[in-house]
Amino acid sequence: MKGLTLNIIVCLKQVPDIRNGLQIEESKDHIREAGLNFKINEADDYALQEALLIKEKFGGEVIVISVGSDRAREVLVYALAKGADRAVHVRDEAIAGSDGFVVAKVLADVIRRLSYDLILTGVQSEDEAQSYVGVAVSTRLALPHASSVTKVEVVNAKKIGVEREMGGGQLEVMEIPLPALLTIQSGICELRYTTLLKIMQARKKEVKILRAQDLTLDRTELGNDGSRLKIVEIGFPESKRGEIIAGEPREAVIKLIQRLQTEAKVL
Amino acid sequence: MDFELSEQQNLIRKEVRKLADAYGPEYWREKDKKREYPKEFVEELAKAGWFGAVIPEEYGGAGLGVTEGSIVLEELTVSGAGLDGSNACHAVYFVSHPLVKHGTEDQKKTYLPKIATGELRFQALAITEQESGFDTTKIRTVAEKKGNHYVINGKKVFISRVAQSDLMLLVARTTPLEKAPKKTKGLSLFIVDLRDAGSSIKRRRIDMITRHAVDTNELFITDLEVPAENLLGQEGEGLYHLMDGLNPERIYIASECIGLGRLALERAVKYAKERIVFDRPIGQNQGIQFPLAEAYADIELADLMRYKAATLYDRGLPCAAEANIAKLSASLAAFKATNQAVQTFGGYGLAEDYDVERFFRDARLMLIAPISTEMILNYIGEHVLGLPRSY
Repeated sequence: MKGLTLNIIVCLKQVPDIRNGLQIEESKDHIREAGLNFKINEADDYALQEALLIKEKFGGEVIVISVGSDRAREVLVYALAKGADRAVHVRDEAIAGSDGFVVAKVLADVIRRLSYDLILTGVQSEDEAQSYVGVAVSTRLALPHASSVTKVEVVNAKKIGVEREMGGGQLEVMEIPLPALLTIQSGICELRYTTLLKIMQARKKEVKILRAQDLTLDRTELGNDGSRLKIVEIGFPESKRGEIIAGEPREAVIKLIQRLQTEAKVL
Repeated sequence: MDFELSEQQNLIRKEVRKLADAYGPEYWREKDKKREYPKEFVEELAKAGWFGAVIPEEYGGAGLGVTEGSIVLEELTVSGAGLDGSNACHAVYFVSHPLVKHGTEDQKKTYLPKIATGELRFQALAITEQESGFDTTKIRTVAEKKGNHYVINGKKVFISRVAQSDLMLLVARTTPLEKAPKKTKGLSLFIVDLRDAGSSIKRRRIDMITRHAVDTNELFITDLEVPAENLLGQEGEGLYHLMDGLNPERIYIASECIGLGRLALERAVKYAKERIVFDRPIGQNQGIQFPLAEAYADIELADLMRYKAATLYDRGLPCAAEANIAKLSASLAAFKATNQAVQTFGGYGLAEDYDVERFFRDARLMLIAPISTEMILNYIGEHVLGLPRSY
């Protein structure tokens, strides 16, 4: 589509990399961060990649935003090295401890000042898996939204087509007027590694820092004070150990069938 | 003193690893078994710009330092590729070094931008000869100037990646040893275009027990004509030009050894946790656990020296002692780690399907090449401790 450009905002979250396990603090209300590595939330990585693919096709600007501690800058620098044009980092002690509802308010407050056609977020974060920040942002900005999006097709400057996952393995195809917000499902596209040239170019790109006083929100609306949810306790579900039925294959299968009939009662 | 990598260095580490991770264990097992160059892997690295990492920006590279170059090589190794991966292309980092430092503006403009993109492969370095070994002053390959070109004759041994290179850096005597003012004088460097060499260079592959995917060769050079403009640096000063590049090379090799050690340990620790014998994981036995812990400690220590040497080099400070110690300690640590990985796996450690035997074979090479443990100890004894020269 000649002359069509889309400005896209992508919201990114930094999450702990728990491939090597994680521990819970004694207070039981948060995980132990010491010794953990942090990374971009997987679904956000896909949202970023999808935005960059759209940019590659149609042109426009990709702006990335993250609300988080100093450490969260890493995901913004990563996004710039992947090809995003500029970044906004909202970081302030006053925001620490915010629930998803507050984060959505902050994101919406920042996004209102920017020019955009499309907002992408990951479908959910790997750590909290609440799946509501993206949707809450769209509500605060009064934008149409689609969640669990598995395909994006730009129709024209005013609307896009999307495919989204529904329950029971069904797919829904929708057309949405722009501007809109989409929460992106992991696997929507192929993640690409970035090139050395882009890593070098990222040095010259801006990471704008916003503090609590730069927002139009009152301090009482931020952090623990503004949060509606309070985490009481986190823990691991009791795991049931698997069991290996020993013996010759024929005997073992007979034993397995008997137990599936008598204990599990599934046969 | 700052032990943290920069944002950019962390990104480099993660992104080059992402590329390398796409080449799984099956790929490397097959390349090693078939003694086949990992062409796809190397081409993808070139396409993503990694060949140009340490080439200056004005010649099309990224202008990064030895620290970043060493991070790239470590990640290529630790990804599972071992030396079959990193050694398939690492020479682009250190062979380009004399060209950057001593090349004429014309040479740099002609070659460096194409080396940075991978269009020109400059990854063969012909120094060693059978008779001279590590005593480079005694090499017998000669270059005789005739008009506007040099004619080169001689033999070289243990020259890697010749089949995969367009250009080769070659050392030859331009003044006979007996006529040279000093034995370290009279050697010169030449950029040899292998594409034009024809039958002047005959190659015989030497089958080694190590690094199967990367060719190692014996070269027979007969009346090879090299244009005079391909002389690199000053005639007769070649050994000094080469020595300028030795510290980066030591640091790069150290980083690969660290990657190799980490790779072997990662596999061994996982196996030691999972393998149950006598009703408990074998890693619960101190006989297995302690050597793995020791190997880990050795690698971490060598890594500190690698970063110290690299940081000094990138700041333009002397680092010969540190670079040599980094190579020495990293190669010993890699050997210990890979050897212990084989021991941890028991019989499976010697089976090709479990990979650790390949890492062990790789690590053995690093005690000998590109400089042996003994020659580094000689260096430390003589130049750091001030003891009488022992050889």
